[in-house]
Amino acid sequence: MDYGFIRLNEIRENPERYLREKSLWLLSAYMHGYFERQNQIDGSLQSEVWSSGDFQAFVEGYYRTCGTPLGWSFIIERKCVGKDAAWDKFWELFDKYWDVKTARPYGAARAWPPADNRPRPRWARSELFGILRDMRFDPHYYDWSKPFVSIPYHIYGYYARQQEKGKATKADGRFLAEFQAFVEWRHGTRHDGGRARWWEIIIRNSRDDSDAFHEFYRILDEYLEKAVGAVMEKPVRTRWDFDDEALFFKKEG
Amino acid sequence: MDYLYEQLKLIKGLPALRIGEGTLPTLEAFISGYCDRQREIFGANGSNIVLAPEFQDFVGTYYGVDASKSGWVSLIMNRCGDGHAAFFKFYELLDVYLDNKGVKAEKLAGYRHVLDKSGARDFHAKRWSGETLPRFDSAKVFYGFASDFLSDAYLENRANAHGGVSAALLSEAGLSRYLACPGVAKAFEKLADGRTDIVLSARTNEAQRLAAVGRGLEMRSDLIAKDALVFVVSAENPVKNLTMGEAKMICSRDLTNWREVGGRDEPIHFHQLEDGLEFAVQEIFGFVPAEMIMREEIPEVSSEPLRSVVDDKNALCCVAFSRIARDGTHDGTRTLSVDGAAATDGNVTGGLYPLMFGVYAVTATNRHSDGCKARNIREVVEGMSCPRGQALLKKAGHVPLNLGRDG
Repeated sequence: MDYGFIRLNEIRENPERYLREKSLWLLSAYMHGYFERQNQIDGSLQSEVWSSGDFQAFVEGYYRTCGTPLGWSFIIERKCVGKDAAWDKFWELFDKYWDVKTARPYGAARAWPPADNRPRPRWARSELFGILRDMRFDPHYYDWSKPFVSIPYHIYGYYARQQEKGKATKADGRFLAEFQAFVEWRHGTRHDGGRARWWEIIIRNSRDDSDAFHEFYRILDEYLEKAVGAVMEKPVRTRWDFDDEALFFKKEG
Repeated sequence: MDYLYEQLKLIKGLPALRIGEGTLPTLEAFISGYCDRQREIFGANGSNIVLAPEFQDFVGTYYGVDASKSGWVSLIMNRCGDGHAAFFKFYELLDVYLDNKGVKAEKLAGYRHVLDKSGARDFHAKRWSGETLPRFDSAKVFYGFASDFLSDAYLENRANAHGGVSAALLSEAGLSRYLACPGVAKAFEKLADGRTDIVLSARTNEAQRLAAVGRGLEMRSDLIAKDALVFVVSAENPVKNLTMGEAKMICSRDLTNWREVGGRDEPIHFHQLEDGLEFAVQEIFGFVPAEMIMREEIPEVSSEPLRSVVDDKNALCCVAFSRIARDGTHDGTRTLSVDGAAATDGNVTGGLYPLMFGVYAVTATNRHSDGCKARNIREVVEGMSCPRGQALLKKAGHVPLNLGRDG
C-alpha cells in the first residue's frame, strides 16, 4: 500500500493528531513536508497519491479551471463555504480521484472496432471532446509546463463533476470506455491482460512527455474520424477564460 | 547537514510557493509532515535545529515562560496573535538563536544574558532622538498608552500629575508630530503611504491587508496587549445582562428595542463607538458597523461618549474597558454584564469576560529600504512588549499579556 495513502487515511481518521485544525492549507503543507523528506532520502518526487500533480489536475477538471498557479487547497476552499465544508469536499474529491487512479480496466468495457462502426450523429458527440480541444491549444499543455498525464485526470475530474450533477451523457461514458479499447487496438495491447489504462499505454509507447502529448492527440484525431466522423479544430476562445472568473466569484452552497 | 533547516530557508524566501501561505501554523504543518516521515524511516527526529530542546528553551526564555508546557509554536502564536506576524517572528528568533549558538551551553541564563545584550530587546536603554523616532498613529482608544509610551521613552518620564502626557507637553517637546490620532482608517492610509511608521489599533481586517499587498507592502501586526468591549447604559435602565447574540445584534442594528432584551419598550439609542473600536467589533463579531468606516473627524480624547449616556436613559454606549479602568464610569451610568460576566477588572484580566480583543502595533515590514529605520521601528514595537512597556499598557487600562521576560 502506498505510504502517502496510508498517512492520508490516518489524518482522515484522526486529524487532530496531525494538524492544529481541520484545514486544507495545513493538510497541504503537512503532506508537502512529508513528501519532501522522502524526496530528500531517495529522490522520489511524490508517492503514488500525489504523483506529478495528478490530484491537482483532477481538482482543476472538477471545477473547470486551468492554467492557475493556485494549489488544490486554495481552489477547493474558494469553492466551498467554510473550512469544514472544504475539508469534507476534499475527501469526497480524493475518493473519486483515488478510484480513477487505482481502477484497472481489466479488459476494455467496449471492443474496437465496434459492431456498429458508423459515424454517430452530432448530438451523440461527447462534450469531453470540447475540453480536449481546449487543452490541445492551451499553452499550459502544449508548452509542456503541465505533464501529459494531467490531461486524463483533468478529464476524469470533469466527468466526475458531470456525473454528480446528473449531466454526464451516454456519449461521455461511451467515449471513455471506447477510447480505452481504441488505444489498446491501436497499440496492439488488447491481449496484454488489459491492465494498463489508455494514458499509461500512450506513455509507454512515447519517448517523452512531449511525444506522449502528440501521440495522444494523433490517436484522438484518428478516433474522432473513425468513430464520430469529426475533425478537431482550434477554438476561438478557450473555456478557461471564463472559468477563472467563476473560481473567484462563485461559491457553491 | 540539517536538511530541514535548508528547507526552512527556502520557505522563508517564497512561502506562498512552497507551503501555500506564510503563516506559522502552515509552517508547523510542513515541519510536522517532514518529521513524521523522518521518524517513520529512521525512527528518530534527527539533528534538526528547530526540534532541538535548546531552541524550545530559547523561545521560552525569550518570552519568560516555560516553553515545555505549550511548545514554541503556541508560544509565538499567542504572543503575536496573528499567523503571518508569528511566521516572521519565528524566523527572527531563529536568526538570533543561530547567531548565539556559541553560548548555548550557558542554557537559560546564557540566553537571557544574550538577549539582554541584543539591541532588538533593549529598547529602553537606547537614547532616542528626533532622527531615530518612528512616527506613531494611534486609534483614539489607545491614545493614552501611546502618549505614556512616548513620554517614557522620549521625555524621560515627564508625565503630568494624572500619569499621562498632555498634547501640550508633547508639543512643547517638539514631539507632537510623532504622535497623531487621525482616525484609524486614515492612520492605515498613512501607513500605506509611508507617512507614519506604527499604527496602534485593534486587529487589521482583510481589506486593509489586501490594500497593503496591492501596494507591495506586507503588513505585520504584533499583539501588545488585550482590551475588552464594554456596554455602558444609564443607571435607570433595568437591563443588567446581554447574551453574546444580543450584543452582536445590537451592534449590527438588528436589535433596536430594549424590550427584546428584557427592558422597557423603548428604542435603543446606540451611541457612536470610540475610534478604533470598529475593528474590535469586527474581531469579536465578524463585521464592521458601516458608519464607523465613514467617520472622518476624530475629536481630542474626551469622555463625551459616557456623558451622553447620563442624559439619555435609552442610550447604550460601547467603549473600551481601558477607558473604564482608567477614568471610571460617570455617576448615573453602569456597565452591562455579557453572558453573565460583569466587566470587572478580575473578569477581564482573568479572561472570563467574553468581549475581548487584541491591541496591535501594526507596521509595514518592507516599507523602509533603510535598515536603520526599519530596525528602530522594530525596537519600538519590541519595547512595547517588554515588561516596562507592558507596565505602561497596564497603567493605561489595557490588559498586559503577562508574557514578558520577567513575567
